[in-house]
Amino acid sequence: MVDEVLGSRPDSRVQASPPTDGTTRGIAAPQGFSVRYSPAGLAGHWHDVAFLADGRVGVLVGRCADGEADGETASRFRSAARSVLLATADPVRTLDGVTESAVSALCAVIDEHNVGYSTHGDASATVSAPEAPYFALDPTDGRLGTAELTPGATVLLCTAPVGPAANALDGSESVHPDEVADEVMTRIAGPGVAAVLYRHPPEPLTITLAAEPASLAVSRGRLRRWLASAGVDTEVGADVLLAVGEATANATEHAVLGANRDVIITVTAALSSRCLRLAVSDNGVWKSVTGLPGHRGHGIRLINALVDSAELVTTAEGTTVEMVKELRP
Amino acid sequence: MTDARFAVTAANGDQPPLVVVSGDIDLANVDEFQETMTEACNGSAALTVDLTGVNYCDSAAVRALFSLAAGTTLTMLVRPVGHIKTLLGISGLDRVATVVMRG
Repeated sequence: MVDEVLGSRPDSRVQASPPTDGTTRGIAAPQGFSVRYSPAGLAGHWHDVAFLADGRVGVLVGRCADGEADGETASRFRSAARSVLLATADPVRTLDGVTESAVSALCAVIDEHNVGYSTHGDASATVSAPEAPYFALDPTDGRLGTAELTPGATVLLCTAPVGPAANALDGSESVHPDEVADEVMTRIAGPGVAAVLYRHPPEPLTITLAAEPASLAVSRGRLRRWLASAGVDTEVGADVLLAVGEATANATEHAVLGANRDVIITVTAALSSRCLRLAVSDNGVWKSVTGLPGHRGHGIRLINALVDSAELVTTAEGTTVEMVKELRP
Repeated sequence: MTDARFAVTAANGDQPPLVVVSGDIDLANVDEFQETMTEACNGSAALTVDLTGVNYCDSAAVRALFSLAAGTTLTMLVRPVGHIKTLLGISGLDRVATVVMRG
């Protein structure tokens, strides 16, 4: 059943003390996830993000509240819970073994449309959908809770109640989840926490514009904002912006030559489980790549270097450049 | 609309003329980019172009830089991370001009 475990803290045991530099931004997390520990929350707190064999994603957050034995208790519970999660993909069974009152934990399993979860103690889950107020999920104490995830929804899983800090989620759907997570952590007061923030894939993007140079900046701005809302890593996003920009510029320059109609360019972007699918279509007339000297061949070469696959499909109706960019992991 | 700003400093002693660019460069303003560089160069044997303030540029800008590098000794200042460094590497512009990492 075990596929792979990603996004864990580098050390499989729970750290007993905060890192000396006090920063937690460098914790690796898969596409769509941001992980934060408040400096005071490093002792006895942990998280795991795991890809389950059925394609869903499991998330665990937990803490052990007091005493010198925190680190050891937390470490023992964490490894047991992770094993059950990977074996069963069941949030309730994952937390079955948690009876210590000092431990708070939450297990969530996320699929295409829902989050199923179970809680123990006062670990909290908050869901925010675009253009709707956020809401805290009820504690389940041994039962299974579920909530629907609409496109672009944000889920905040935390080792403690987040209180008014959850206000940071309202209206945040267009903000990169890394920045939302930073804002949440800035607002959380009191004892330390570990938090995992997840952004569900947003609605696919469709941009339709006239094939003219002035459209390029408009298209680029909208794609840039969509990539942020989708939680795409900044460096990956820059590659995608350039690849799509090249395809759009090529269409703007060449599709209009010899076309007997106004040429329209359509840019689409969609985030699926682990890749971005991008397409730039025009209804103009492209000459074949081999028939063109220099620049267009150069643009295509650039696109090929920036994305994982690119295909040029030409019909009598126009041309489409289809691109796929794989995402971490 | 694509927005870029160009600041030109004339040659001074041993220092070649300098063009500092910020903003975005694409098909919409690449002609202005090329004309600014050509005028700044004004027959000088060398030109420095500071691209560290550029948020976005594509192969249209690369073509303009290639064309300039054919007639003068071109030095470009770019940030050590980001897509412009990638762009220069893939296009081969870094083999006909000097690229200096800055910032």
